[in-house]
Amino acid sequence: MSDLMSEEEQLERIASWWKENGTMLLVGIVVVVGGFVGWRWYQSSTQAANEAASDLYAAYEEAEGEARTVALAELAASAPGSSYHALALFEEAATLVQDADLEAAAALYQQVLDDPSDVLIADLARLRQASTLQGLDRGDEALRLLDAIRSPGYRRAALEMKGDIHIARGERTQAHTAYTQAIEAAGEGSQTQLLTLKAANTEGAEPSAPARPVAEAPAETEAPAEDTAAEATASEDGEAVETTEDAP
Amino acid sequence: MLQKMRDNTQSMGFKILVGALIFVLAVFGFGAFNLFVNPDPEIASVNGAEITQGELAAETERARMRLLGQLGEDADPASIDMLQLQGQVLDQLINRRLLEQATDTLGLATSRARVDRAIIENPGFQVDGRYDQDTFLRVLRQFGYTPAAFGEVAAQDMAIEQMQRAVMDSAVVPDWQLRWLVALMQQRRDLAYLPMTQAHFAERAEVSEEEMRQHYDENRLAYQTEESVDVAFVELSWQDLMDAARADVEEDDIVSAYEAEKQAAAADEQRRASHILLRLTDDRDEEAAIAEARQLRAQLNTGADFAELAKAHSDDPGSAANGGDLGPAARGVFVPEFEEALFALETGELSEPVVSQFGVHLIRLDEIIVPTYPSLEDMREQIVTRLAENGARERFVEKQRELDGLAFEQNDSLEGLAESFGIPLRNVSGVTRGQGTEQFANADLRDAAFSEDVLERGFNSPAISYEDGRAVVLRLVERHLPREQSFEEVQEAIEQVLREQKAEVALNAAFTEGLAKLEQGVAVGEVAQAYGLEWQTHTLASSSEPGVPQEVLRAAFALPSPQAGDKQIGSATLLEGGQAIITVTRVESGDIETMTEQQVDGLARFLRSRTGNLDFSALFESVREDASINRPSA
Repeated sequence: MSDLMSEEEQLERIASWWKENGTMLLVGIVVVVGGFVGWRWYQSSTQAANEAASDLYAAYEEAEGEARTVALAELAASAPGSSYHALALFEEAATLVQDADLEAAAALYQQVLDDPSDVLIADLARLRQASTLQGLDRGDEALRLLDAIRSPGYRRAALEMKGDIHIARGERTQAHTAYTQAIEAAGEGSQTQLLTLKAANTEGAEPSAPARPVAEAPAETEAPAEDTAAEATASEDGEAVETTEDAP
Repeated sequence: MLQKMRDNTQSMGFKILVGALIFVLAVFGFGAFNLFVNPDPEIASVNGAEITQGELAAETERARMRLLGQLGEDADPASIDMLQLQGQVLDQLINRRLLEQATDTLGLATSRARVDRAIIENPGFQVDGRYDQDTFLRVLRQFGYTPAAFGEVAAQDMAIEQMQRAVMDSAVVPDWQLRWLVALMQQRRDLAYLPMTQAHFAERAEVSEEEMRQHYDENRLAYQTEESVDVAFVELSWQDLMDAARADVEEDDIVSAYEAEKQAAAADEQRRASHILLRLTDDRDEEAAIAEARQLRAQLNTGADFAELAKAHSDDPGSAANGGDLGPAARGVFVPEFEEALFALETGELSEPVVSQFGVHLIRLDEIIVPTYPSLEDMREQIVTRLAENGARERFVEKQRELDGLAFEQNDSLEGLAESFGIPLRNVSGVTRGQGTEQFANADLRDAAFSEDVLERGFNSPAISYEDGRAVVLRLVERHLPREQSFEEVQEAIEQVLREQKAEVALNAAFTEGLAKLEQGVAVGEVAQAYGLEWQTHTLASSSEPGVPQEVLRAAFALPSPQAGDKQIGSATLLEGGQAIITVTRVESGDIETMTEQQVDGLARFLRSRTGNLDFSALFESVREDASINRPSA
C-alpha cells in the first residue's frame, strides 16, 4: 500500500505522527533507559557495599585481641545493621556466653534485634537471646521471644529451646509437650536422637538425683540429710525389686 | 521480487524494527539475544532462577569425574549409575541455588580481591608450593569452567561458606542448658535385657527325619547338582617365548637403545637459580620496577651480595628469606618468560630484568645439575630384557595365530598341538558355568568350555586370549549333566534350612509372648526360663556401657523413667539377628560436678557444634520452605 502513496504524503504522515506521539515516545525512552541505568547503578553499588562489608567482616574474623575490637567498631561504623554486622555481633556474644557474661551477651543480641538486616537474622537472634535470658532468670521473656519466631525452618529449634527452658523452670509436662512438637516439626532425615532422648526423659517419673561417690559417704551427716536419705532408700528399693524378680 | 524487497525496506514498520534493534544492541549488547534465543532448555527452577539442562549435564560430568577420582584408577566407569547421580546432582544444584539466594537476601558477597587471593593460595593450583597459571587453567579446563565463570562460582562459594561458618561457630550453649544436657546424657540406668538370638532358637529347634524327607520330596529340583565339565587344554604365554627372543637381541639394537635413553635423560637437566622479585604496585609501575632492577643489578656487578639484596628487596617472601634461592628445577616449573631467561644463562651469570606476570625479576643461575647416567654395561641386562620382552610379545601374536589355525585343522585332539608347540597338555575337572579352578577362574574360558562347538560337537575351541599375553585352546573331556541327589547326600543341608525356618518362627513367637507376659506382670525370671534364656543385668549402666550392644542401649535410654519399684519395658532388634526385650528399673541423672574439666569441655564443644548445625539448618530450611521449587518428579 505504501506504493500508492507519494514520498511527500509519507513524509507528511510521519511528521504529523511525530507531532502527536513524539514527546510521549521520547519520555518513554528516557524513562526506560533511565530506569535501567538507575537499576544497574543501584545493583552495582549494593554489590560494592556488600563486598566492602564482607571484607571488613573477614578482617574482623582474622583479627585477635585489641585489633578485633577495632575491626568490629569499623564494621559497625561503615555497615551498621548489615548481616555482616549481625554475624560479628553473634560471634562477640558467643564469646561472652562462654565467659559466662550473659548480661553483656543479651545486650548484643538486643542490638541485632533492634535493627535486623532480615527476618532470618532476627529469628536467629531471638533463638539465641532466649537461651541467654533464661540464664538470667528471665524465662517468661525468653518464652515470649520464642513464640515470636516466624520463619518456618526455625520451628524445630525454637520448640526444642522452649522444652529446655521449661525443664529449667521445673515444668516437665510443658517441656514434654514442646519436645514432642519439636519431633513432629523436625524435617525428614534430620538428626533427632538427642531430641528423642529429651522427650522420653520428660515422660514418666522424674529421674533420681545422682548418688554421691562412695568416698564422700562419711560427709553424709553434714549434708542436708533429707535428700540424701531419700535417695538412698530409692536406689535400694530399685535394686531390691530387681533381685527378687530375677531369682529363677 | 528485489524491487518489492527494496520497497519494503523503505516502509515505516521496517524502519521502526531496525531502530528497535539498534536500541536494544546499544543498551544491552549482543548478550541480549540470549533473552530471545535460548538453546538450553530449563529443567528446574528455584524462585524463578533456572537450572538448565546444559548446566545439569556439565555438573553431573564434574561429579562423575570427582567420583572416579575417589574410586581410584581401577574403577569401572560403567559402574556409576548416571541416572541416580544426575538426580543427586540436581538436588545439590537446587540446594546451591537456595544458598545463593540466601546470601543474596542477607547481602553477603565476596570481593574480587579475596577470590583472587583464595585462588592463588589454593594448593590445587600450585606447583612446588607456588601458584601456577598453567595448572590453574588446566584444572579449570578439566572441570569445564572458563576463568570468569570459575571466579563467579568461587565468589558465591566463599560467601556461602562465610555465612555457614559464621552461623555455626557463633552457636551458644549457656551453663543452665549444659547442666540439663549433662543430667540427660550422663544418665545411668539399671537395665536388664533378654537377648533372643537366632542361634539360640536354632539350637533348640527340633527337626524330625519325616519333616526332612517331606521337604526333600517337595524340593527335589532345588537340590539338583549343577552341570559341570572336565576339560583338557593347552596354554601359550608370551613368557614362554622369552628365551628365544632374548637370543635374538642384536648388539646394535642394545647400543642404540642405550644412546637414546641417555640423551633423553640429559634433557632433564636441572638448574639451581636465585632471584629477586619486584612486584608491581600502585606506586611502582613496570618501568619503575625495571629501573629499580637495573640499579640492583649495577650494585651486584660492583660486588654487592646477592643474598643480602634479595633479603632486603625481593617481594617473593618464599625465596627472599633464603637469599633468593629457588632451589633446583627442571624445565616446565617456572613461567615461560622466567624459564627462557634462566636457560639462556651461564653458571654464575646475572640476567637482565625479566618481566613476568609476577613482576620484574633479576635472575642468577647458580648451578647446572646434569644427571649422571649409568654405563652401558650397568644398563645392559635391563635393556636386553626390555628388548627381549618386546620381541616375545611380537612373536606371541604370530604364534597365537598359528595355534588358532592348527586348533581348527586338527579339531579332534589337542595332542598334536601340544607336541608341535612344545607346551604341556593339562586337565581341569568340575568346571561349572559360574565357577572353575586354575585358568578357569576366568569367565571367558568358562564361556568357551560351555560353547556349542565344544560342548555339543566336541571340537577344539579357538585360541582364546585372556589376561595379558596368554592364550588357551581347550576341548571337552567329559560332561556331567545336572542330576538329582539322594536324600542322604543333601540331608545335612536340609536340616540346616529347616532349623533356621523354625528358629525364625519360634523367636518371633517368644518375643511377642515374652513382651506380653512382662506387661501383664509375670516375673522376669519366669519369662526367661520359659525359653531357656538368661537376663543380662547391668546396674547403673552409662549410655555407652561396654559389653551391651549399641542398639540395646539406645532403646533402653529412650524409655521413660519408671516409678520407684516399677519397671519400664522396651525392645530392640539385635544387629547380630534376633530381638531383645529390655527392662529399665531405675534412672539416675548425670551430675556435672562429678565430671572432669576435660569431660565438661568436650561435651560443651559437642553441644555447641550440634546447636550450630541446628541453627544453620533452621536458616536453610526457612529459605527452602519459602521458595517455590519446580523440578521434574523423580
